[in-house]
Amino acid sequence: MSAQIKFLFFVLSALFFIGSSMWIKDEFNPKWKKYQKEYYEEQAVKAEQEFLTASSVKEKELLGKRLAAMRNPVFEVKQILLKGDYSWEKQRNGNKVDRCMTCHIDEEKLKSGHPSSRELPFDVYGCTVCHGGNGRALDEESAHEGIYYHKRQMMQRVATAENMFEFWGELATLTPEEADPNERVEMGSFKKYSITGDKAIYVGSQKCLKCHTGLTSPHVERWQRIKFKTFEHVKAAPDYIAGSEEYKKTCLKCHTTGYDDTTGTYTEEGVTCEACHGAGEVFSYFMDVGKAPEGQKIAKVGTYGTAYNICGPCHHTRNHEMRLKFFKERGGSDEWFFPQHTTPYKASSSEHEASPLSPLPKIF
Amino acid sequence: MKLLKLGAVLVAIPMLMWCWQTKNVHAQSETKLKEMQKTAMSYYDVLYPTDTLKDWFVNNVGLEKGGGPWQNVYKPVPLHMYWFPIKHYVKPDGTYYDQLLERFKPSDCVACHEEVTPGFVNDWRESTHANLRKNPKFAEKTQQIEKLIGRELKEVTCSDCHGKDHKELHMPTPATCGECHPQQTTEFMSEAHRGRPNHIEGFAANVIPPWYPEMFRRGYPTAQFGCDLCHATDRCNICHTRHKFAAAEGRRPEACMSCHMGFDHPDAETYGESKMGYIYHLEGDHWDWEKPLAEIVPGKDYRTPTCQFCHFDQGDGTFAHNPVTKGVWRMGTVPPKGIDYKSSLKDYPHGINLPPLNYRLDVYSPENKKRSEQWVAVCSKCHSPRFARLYRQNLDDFMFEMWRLQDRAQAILDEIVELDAFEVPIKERDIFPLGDILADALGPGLLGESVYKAFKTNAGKVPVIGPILGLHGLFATGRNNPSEIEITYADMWFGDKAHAYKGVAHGQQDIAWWYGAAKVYQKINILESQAEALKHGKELHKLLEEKGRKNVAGIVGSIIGIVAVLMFGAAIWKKRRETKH
Repeated sequence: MSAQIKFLFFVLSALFFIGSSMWIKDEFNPKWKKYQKEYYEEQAVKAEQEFLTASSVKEKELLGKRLAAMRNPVFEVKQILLKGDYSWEKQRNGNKVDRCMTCHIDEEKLKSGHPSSRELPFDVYGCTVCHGGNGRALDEESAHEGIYYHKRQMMQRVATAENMFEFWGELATLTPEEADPNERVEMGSFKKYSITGDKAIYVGSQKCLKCHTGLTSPHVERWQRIKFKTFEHVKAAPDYIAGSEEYKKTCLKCHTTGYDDTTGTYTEEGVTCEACHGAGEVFSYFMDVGKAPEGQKIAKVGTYGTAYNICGPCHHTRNHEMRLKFFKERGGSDEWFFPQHTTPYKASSSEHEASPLSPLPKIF
Repeated sequence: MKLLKLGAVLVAIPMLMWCWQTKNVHAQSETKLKEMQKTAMSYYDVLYPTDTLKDWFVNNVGLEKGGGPWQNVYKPVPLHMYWFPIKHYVKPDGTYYDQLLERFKPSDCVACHEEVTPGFVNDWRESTHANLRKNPKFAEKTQQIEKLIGRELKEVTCSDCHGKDHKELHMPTPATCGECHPQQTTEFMSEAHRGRPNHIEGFAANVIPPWYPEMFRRGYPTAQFGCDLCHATDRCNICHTRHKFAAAEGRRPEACMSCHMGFDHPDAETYGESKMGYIYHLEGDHWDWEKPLAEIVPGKDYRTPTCQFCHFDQGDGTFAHNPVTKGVWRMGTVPPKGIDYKSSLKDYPHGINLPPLNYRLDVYSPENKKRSEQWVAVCSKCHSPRFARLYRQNLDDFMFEMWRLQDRAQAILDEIVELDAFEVPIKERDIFPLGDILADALGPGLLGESVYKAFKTNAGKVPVIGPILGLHGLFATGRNNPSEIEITYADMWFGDKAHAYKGVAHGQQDIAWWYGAAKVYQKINILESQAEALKHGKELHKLLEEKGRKNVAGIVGSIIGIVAVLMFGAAIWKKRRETKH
């Protein structure tokens, strides 16, 4: 062998050696380990401080255990197994997993930055459903491919109705099945979330009426004739006035629009457009920007199978039973329970016209 | 006859129903008004519910000490009794009034003051307060108010607001106005729900920032005309000027323009010079300013919106004395979420837990999205909804771009801080306003761990740059704190960005660009140049220092060398002489 070939062989093997050692280093010391190390070091410092300030023995013991765990952490890939059928035949790569928290390990920080995670917890819904990207990947470049970093970028998704259906559908797929077989989770149940995972906002009927008074006048007229004054009647009802907050909530649930059970607030009095068509944020956006057909797909009540789940929660039998109980308990007249006060469209009948002059029933 | 009876019945029933209904409506609104009156008259109790807050903002201390949490650090100047009367008003010396009152009854204010101060008396004569029933509309209103307060009113005169006697003379507060105008006052009070910036907490916003008392400490107690005059906003007469107190005046854009102009919020310029403003200038004199906002038909009554028509709109055709409910960008000074900050802005608000410094703006939170929707609805009264929405989105995107530029600027400054490359080393500069007492006064709970440590360990000698505590960069007077580069930056984020923001929001292109965005870009370049110069200076300084040391070493070394050689020579010479002998 000539010296030249020997030299070439030597150079090539050196390159090969360097290349493989770099690869091996990455393989045994991946980047995510660095983030975990930083996190555990930070936590250890915090735990130490707490340990020093802690007073009771029991507390100290607990904190000591935690401190020990933080000082000798186990570096590992962390992942959430997501629900759903992601098989080869659907061109999906087996079970879907989100491994984002391998690097984004500080749960406290994540939770404080995501107020909506109370309703859509990370350990059920993962990250990629809202943020996009590749949940399985463990290096930054491929994991962050096509990602929406923040709400501003997520808004880009509102391009077609299909995008929204896909998003809501994904949320429905990820939701665990309820023990009650009658509680079926479907895409329509998630219409209340906008693209950022926040509750979609109610834009108010004024906005709808601006165009729809002319566009779909029979529909609007019928609604104006029948529905939108029910809350006036509720407000005048003696049991509503005297009732506790809890009692009032049972009225508000059906007689207002955009009622939020957690805060007890509503956006509009009476049953208005969005009470049936859902919060208008997304579809009114489409209508505003000149993509009315896309908006229509979302706003349509029948888009999510039957309309039962929209009318049903309020329109069922014996829905006002608590009123009867209320009046009976107080020994007052139960006149207010009867239909002329519960079905306002009868208010214009001749029978009702004479009644306002008769004294209102007293319950106190 | 039968027909007549039927007719009578048919007429009577709707009449009765109408009477019953209107009575009901009136009754309801009356109890509501009573409630509002109660809230309005306990104005300060509602706004400042705790004893500490009352001590800071409500209890009169005369001119003995200041207001707010730093009340013991400064003393107001005498004029302050008029800016912030609730806290500092001192009654005029009363001895000679006794003599006056022998001749004049307390109800004779007008007779005397007509000669002493004819301006405000004549002004009042022109007002509705002096002619309560000048037209049927006001007569009806007066009747409602009489019912509410339970006494008859001939006119609303001096003593109704200022007290019956010179001995109990006081400056009226919104609580005084609230007795008769409860709805307006409670609407105004509701600004507090949204937090600062707003009008109602103007006094708090004036005295809480540390640079305010610091100016006093450094011996510039009257230099703050800007602060005091602008921040005395917690009262009704900022828009309905005394002593005419006209509603019509409050509806005109000029009511806002005297304050909302200039460097930090050029609203008057941007609105006034926009097409909307010019139509108002051209035609506004012919519009009916007596008409309530809720009755205005856009295009018919007003051909173009006024400040109030957009900013007072509360949705669903209602208006209120509260322009802050719809605000999303909050004067453009709070860093928004949704930008990958490279500079120290990424840690804003740095753990500080003091409102309004304790949050980062989320333009896409459900509440803010709702506000944006309201804006689109307001603009859509005249513009196409699509145009309105695109304009609104464009404003958001524009602001994000401005904030990205600010991030760049902040990064430049961060580097200078890191290198300590200011003209004067940080340790030798003057303290941040109240820097010596901030850490101990507020503690790590309110300041956040890192900020607390920074203040504590350096006794206030810390460079604070950017939103919002870096605002002092525009006027503080310490030794090289702020330095030129800090002033350039403060100028950019507070002034130029405001011009860009307001210019786009109100549709004034030239202010938006040449006085706004273009200036922001320029400032980035200026900052870069200044930073280069500072770094260069620092390096030069280092080199010179090294060179100086070398020279000294050389001289000392050569002296030692020469001495050594001489001594060595002397020693040899001595030895040789000894051996010769």
